[in-house]
Amino acid sequence: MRGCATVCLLIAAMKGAAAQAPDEIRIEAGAAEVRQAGTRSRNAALLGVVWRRSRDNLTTTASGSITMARDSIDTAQGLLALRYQFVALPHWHVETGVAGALFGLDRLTGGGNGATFLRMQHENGARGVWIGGAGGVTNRTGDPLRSTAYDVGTWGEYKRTTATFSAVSTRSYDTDLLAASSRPSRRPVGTYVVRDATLGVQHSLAKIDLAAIGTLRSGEGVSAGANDRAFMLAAALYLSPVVALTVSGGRQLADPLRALPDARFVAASLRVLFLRRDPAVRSIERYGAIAFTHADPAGGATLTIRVLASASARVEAYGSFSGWQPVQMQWVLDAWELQVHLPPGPQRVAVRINGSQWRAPANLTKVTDEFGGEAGLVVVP
Amino acid sequence: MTLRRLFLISLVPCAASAVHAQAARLDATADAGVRRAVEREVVTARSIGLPEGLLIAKANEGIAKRATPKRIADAVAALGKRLQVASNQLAPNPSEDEIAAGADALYVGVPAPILKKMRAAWPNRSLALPLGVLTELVAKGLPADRAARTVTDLMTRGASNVQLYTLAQSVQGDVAAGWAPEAALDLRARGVMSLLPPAPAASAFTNPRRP
Repeated sequence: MRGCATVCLLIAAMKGAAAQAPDEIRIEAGAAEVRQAGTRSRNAALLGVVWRRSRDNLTTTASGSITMARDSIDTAQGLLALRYQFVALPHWHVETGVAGALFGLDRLTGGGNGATFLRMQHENGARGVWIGGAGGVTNRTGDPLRSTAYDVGTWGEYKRTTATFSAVSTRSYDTDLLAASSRPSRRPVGTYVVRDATLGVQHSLAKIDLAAIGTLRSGEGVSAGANDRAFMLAAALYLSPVVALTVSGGRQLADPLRALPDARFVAASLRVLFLRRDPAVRSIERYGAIAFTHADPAGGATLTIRVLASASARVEAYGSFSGWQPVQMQWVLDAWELQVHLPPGPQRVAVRINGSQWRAPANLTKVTDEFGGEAGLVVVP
Repeated sequence: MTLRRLFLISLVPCAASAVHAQAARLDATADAGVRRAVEREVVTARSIGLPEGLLIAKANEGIAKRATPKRIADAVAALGKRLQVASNQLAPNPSEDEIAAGADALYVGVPAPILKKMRAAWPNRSLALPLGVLTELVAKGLPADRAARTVTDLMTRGASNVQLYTLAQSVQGDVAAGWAPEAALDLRARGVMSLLPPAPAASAFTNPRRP
């Protein structure tokens, strides 16, 4: 059980403190203090790696993590997830994946868990909804214990704040896990059902991302007539665009699907982002902002501007293409990006971060205009 | 009143309404002084067949960048002059794109006579892209004469727009990587030259055509 708790801790720390920063390769290392119901607090060391790649309509994510607790066997877990964007249905995409975990060898653990999920999402601008299902099997003593879950949810963004609400119904045979939670009224027999309502709010400041997640749980075997609840806080402080210090703490309820126990924790870690090693990103690393064009068969060219800045920054571009009105850039994979179609002829573009001075993308020819400003020159064939 | 004078008078309201139609595309926050200056330049530009939309775009750029009315008016007037010079140098029948590209070239410091030489070297094809490439090279720090000679040599040898565009892109990348602009231009121009047929004659710069 102790080893299992550290898995819970790692997932909570990564899930919470990641705070909407999709990366190509992200390495996170840190330490935590965790306390399960009926046990003393103890320390743990954490190490996690997330790899993400996006090509055309498919995004692949793979992650692995290990947890080293002083008085427990090391714990390891892995995840492989795919996200596919339908070509004919631009607002729809499907997510699916598998996860596996190996527990320690103490009393309750010493086994493993496997889970899979499928989720359909509909996205419309800054808001969306999803519906999905998942199944998992946990094996500690040789008897596999099945769990299934169905969830629906919605999210929306307003300026720098994102709110997410989800409702999950979980049916499980894993009574050992529930019995080990902090407030069991009775040990359930056979299958049991718990229902969770979770609200998450994330907010981005100049160099800090903040997240708060609250969950209300009801159902059999949870408590006698009273709901169980949990609350987590997480923050990521960006020391540079690629290095962040993350802290998180709170309580996570037991998750039968992934065999995660109920636990309270406090964690701190350092997260380092390694960018995709293609020529464009190498230029970004070197110059901060770049722009490049691809000729369109129908005439003109598509201009892509990429800026390396914090995920929480406000990055804008403007130029002759926008009538010199600022256009908000979008966070794509590992950098801020904007794509616009340009007609043939000379065009000028510039970018700025957090309302600072407008600058020419570093790889473009810099020209100064009659108004004292700076822009990059693009000649479109 | 002769018929001719009647005809001219009848044109005045049409011209005035057209000017207002163009000025109406100005940013709504345009200062009255800016609006007057732009209208004045638009009338002048239209009378000599210049693309007046560029003048309005320049004024809107200044407004978007919160420049002072005087600075905007000066910038629009300066652009009007550049358009006129470019049109003259690229005669006899420059397109709007060519005039705009020529004005851009003049802005970064390309001497006006070079535009005329380029027209002489390429009388029947659009100079919009070659002028854009020249502008980019000069803005990058290359001497205008040197850059113009290279571009014109390539044009004379039959380089396509794509090849000229690729040249500019390559030089841009080389300079960004730390090369000296002139060394980058030499290297890339030789690369393009190697793909072209031998020169039939020297370029317009060493042996200009007689009218």
